Amino acid sequence: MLSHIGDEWQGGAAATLAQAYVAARVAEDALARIAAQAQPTPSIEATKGPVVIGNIEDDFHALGRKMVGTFLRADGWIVHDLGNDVLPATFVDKALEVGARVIGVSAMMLTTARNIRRLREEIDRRGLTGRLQLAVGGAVFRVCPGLDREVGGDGTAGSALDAPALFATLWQKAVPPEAKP
Amino acid sequence: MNSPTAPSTVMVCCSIFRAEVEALRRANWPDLEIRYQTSMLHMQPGLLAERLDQVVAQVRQEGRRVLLVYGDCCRQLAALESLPGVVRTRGNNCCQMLLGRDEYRRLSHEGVFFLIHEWVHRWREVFSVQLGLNPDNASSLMQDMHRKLVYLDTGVVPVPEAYLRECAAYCGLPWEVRPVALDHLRAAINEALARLASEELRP
Repeated sequence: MLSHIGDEWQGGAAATLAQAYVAARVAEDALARIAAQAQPTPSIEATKGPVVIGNIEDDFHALGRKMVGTFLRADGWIVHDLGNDVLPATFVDKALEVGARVIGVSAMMLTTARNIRRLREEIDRRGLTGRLQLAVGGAVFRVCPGLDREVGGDGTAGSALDAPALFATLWQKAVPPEAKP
Repeated sequence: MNSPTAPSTVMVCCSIFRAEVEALRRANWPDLEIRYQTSMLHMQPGLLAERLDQVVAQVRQEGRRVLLVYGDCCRQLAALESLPGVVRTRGNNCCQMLLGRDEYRRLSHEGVFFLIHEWVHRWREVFSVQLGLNPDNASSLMQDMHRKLVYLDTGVVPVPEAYLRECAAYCGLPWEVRPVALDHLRAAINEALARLASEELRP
């Protein structure tokens, strides 16, 4: 539903920005209630590691990120949400602190999405390439094919609903620290 | 700004800035032609992209250059500003263009929801008609995402206090008025005009 509304909004068809926003908010509330009623079992929790999410520097569009966090928690991940306007070093510091193998970074507009390049550079500069996977997402990635690779992302998802599967794939793809030569 | 042989420049500007740009024009760019586009197009980015495509194409057909006074409001803006003779002001959105990046970030981290006069006059249309919210769910939605409303008073139009009170009551948030000089907006436009001029000088 959200994907459909998002497509309509970007295409200037039936749904307005406001309607898409409200639909997403309603979905988030519903999901939070479902997640609260269906607490993950300890065994499931143990299979899902810590991840870090946040909006990139200069980006203050929190809704998408919050939805991703809600879906990830519902799937059993331990989510460290750093909020809006997060600097590259802060993302990496937190990931190292909590032992995350995946950072999920969100951007709404093209201008802010391009700030993700600096996070990519920070990961590479610290020698964490491959060990720390970078999931990128947000409205602009849906309408700009190839932007995820342009900004250095290791993967993207079409909607918040697909985020848990993406994070699982990237978690498996990440080279654990002990496997490094 | 224009050399005698260069094509003239047309400013294509979001109507959110109409009062401010008109105030600045008198002292800064008295001869610049300005074509305002309604800010309500932002509610549907596809329509905004379509309109900007049309306007930019029309101006370029006239052999003139284009200065887009917009934030990063729709994906089409990146394609348009990559065209020869087209530039866009730097800044992610209209509030950041008024406040400057640092102040915008500082206030945003405080949970501010920004209001500008043209938008304030349309708050009921946006919330009630476009968003379809009643006072209860508007209050819930806005309080979930924000801590207060801040009206950016650029000093060129009277502060619409009655509208602000109504909007704040509807959202269930406190409100305040923040005076804002036009320096950042003027600098953003001048910087973009300078880029246009330097582009013209390139071989």
